[in-house]
Amino acid sequence: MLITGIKSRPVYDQLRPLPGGIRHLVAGQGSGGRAMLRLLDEMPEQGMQTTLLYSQESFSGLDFLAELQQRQVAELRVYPSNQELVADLERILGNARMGTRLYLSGSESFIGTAMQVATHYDMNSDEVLREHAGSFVRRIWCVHCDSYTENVTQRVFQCPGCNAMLVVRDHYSRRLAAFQAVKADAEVPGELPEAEELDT
Amino acid sequence: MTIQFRPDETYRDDYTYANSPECIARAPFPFPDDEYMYSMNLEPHVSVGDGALKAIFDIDEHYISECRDRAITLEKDPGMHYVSAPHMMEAQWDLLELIMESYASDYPEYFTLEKDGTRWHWTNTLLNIDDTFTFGDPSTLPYEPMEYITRQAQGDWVLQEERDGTLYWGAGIATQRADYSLRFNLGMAWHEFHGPVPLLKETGMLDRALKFLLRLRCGHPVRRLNWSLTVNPRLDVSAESLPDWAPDRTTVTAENAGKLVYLRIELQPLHRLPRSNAIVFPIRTYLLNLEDIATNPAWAKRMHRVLKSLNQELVDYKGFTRYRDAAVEWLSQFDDGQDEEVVKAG
Amino acid sequence: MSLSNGTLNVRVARIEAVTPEIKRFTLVATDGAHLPPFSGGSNVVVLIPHENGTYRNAYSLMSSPYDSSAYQIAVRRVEEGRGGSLRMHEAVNEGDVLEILRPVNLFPLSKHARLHLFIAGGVGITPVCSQLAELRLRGTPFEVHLAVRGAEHARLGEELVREYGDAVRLYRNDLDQRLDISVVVAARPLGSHLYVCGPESMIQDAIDSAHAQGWTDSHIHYERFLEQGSVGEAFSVTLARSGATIEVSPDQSLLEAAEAAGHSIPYLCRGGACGECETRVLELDGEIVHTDDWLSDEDKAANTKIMPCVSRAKCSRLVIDC
Repeated sequence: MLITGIKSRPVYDQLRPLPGGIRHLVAGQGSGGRAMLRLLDEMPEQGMQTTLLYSQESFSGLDFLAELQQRQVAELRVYPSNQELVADLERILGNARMGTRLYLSGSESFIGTAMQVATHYDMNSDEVLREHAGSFVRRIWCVHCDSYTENVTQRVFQCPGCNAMLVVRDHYSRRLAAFQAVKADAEVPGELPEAEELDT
Repeated sequence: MTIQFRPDETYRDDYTYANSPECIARAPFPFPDDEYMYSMNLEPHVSVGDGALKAIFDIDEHYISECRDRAITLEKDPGMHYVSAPHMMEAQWDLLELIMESYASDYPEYFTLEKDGTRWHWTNTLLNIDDTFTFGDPSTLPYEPMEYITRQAQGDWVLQEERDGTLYWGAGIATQRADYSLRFNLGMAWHEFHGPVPLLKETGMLDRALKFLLRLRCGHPVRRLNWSLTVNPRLDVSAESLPDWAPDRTTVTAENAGKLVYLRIELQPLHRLPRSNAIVFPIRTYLLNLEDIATNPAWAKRMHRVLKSLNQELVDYKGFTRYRDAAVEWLSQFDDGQDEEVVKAG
Repeated sequence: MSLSNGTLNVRVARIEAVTPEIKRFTLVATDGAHLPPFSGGSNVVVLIPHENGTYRNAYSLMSSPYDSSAYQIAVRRVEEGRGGSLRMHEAVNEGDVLEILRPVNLFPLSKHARLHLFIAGGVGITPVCSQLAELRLRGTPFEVHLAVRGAEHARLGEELVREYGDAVRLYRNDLDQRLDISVVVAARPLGSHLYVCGPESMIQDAIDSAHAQGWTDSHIHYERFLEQGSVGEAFSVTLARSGATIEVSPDQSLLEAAEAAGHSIPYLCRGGACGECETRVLELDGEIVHTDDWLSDEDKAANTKIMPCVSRAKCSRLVIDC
């Protein structure tokens, strides 16, 4: 039997205006647009200090672009994929000044990869909020072949990198922005743990 | 002290690793009671007796062989067993200094350190090393300071950075890790890397231990013991290499458990480091198979009771669900149900 | 170096007057060995004996953390103080042996900063000296903004300018060179960290200016001059565990009074910053005068905890849990 009954997962915030900021970056993806809109409602005075970054990539198919376009903000930047949004966020933070606040909303994978960038620029918990949106599909790191798989929903799945059958451990690394998976039938080849849907 | 080294042992393939009676007797037996549960088992790391708790960092008869096994593991998978975040360089130098000074003062017959300002001269006769380098200048060493010195040290070593009222994994060398991934754990905070440990959060111990460690001061190290079981005297039991060693778990029977099942004792003497303010977590592993344990009847009796009564969640977490019963059955021959000898084991 | 009771014996190798008020003491191990290494921003507590006991004053280490052959501290003469600094200035001579505690760092550098900004006033520059030595090795960019009263007070700053060039900026009050902190903290790159060491008004100005520019507290670090111990009105306190009642005189802290009466309370900074001596208040008839930086405002208002190293009481009865 391998370890599966472990409990750990990032704890997320709820987006709310962070006090004291003089520039606000609000970045979201897919169904995360809903939290972006709610946040904007709560900070009507800061519209001209606010930049929106929105990726239309979505696991659930939800898209809030039309509503976001209605808002009075300094700028709205739109991306076809989360990866492109995060790459642009990196450029923006590289030129940003103290006084910047960052708000993230979307999938665990999106938030995790955006946080890698924010952490690189030494943004702390009093400067960043993260709200999870949508289903808890997971980004998985294969401990054996060092590859990542997005949107995993099953406890046991086949690694596209090394073809091993993997079991997902409930253990999350913020540096890798991913959960860990190990060979599922390592003790006895072919003897797999029971299939189970992850708590998505 | 003079140590009879066993320089040609292997921790893989043919597993020629074995303990002398003296080496068994000096091990830090980890069970103070017949039932095991986590406790705040932190105590000042002061020198006690003539065994594993005598030196600041203990070395024993396996030193040369263990360093060779580390080198093999490091060469096999570069980047997997030694990782350091860039901001940990000061802590690396701190660790190099602490290990060199400790080894040189506890084992002057094997190690010497001479300082001439920042020009340092280090000799290690056990591994035939004689190096002069500039303290603070990584380019004067063949490896980064932490890798350089821990290639010459027994046990795994993790450097933790203090920030925002918690401790983060900043660097580590781990060629003996018990089913975790160093690359995965790097950057994790105290509560995150303890996340997988069952029943721990509920005790409130995690918060108390953290508070205690944040108060750890230079020159006042503390130590704790931890333990697990493993099959065969194998050091490289990382999560990465799981497919290489997990099948061994299926080979244990009540008949062969005495030879195959090893108690892994982890001695962890924690030090605050002076320049970096980091804390070093050394994990010095002692491997004793159940036959070794049984050379001390009180130990065998105690361990029988501990394994038999151990909470199933801990058994699962420590990874011996498949052979717990076999190990308990093998040990049962040493437990007559009487209590008088067991007291001695603690 | 000899270690007894956790203290180090050091010999005063050199005493220099660096300003009319500040003397620099160079301390070496009595046996010529290396002293324990430390990190930039650390302080040591010096045990200063006097007629009725011992002052324990904390001073920042200003020498390089990468040279542990000697420690240097700067002592500012405080005329109106309790006498610890006066004794250091008048009674301690080169060649004397002093007892000090091992270095403790309550003002460490952020290891993740992309830019370090230091604001200092007068003798507040001392912890910065050791921090700069550490930063130079690390290669992270920094700026120092140091305000001094006049030419005769500028010597430490001038030494730093010689050492670090343009990264150090001196502001002399006598030349009307004003240090405008709001300019220093404006439009700085993400990941900047601010360190302030100086008088209370300077610290408050820096915090307010940084907040106005949107800085968050996790990027702002400050160290008040740790005015060791405290002075004020006399009061009495009962130590619950021994039942002893002791009198705290006007020129003693509660901690010092307890120590003088033979009771030991754990401590590190003796300046209300580190939290080590936090003690529960069991009974109180009156009020506590909280002067520490450790307890939260809620804790202070609740009067259920006290920091014996600096805080005092105006009360008819005080019982604490130690």
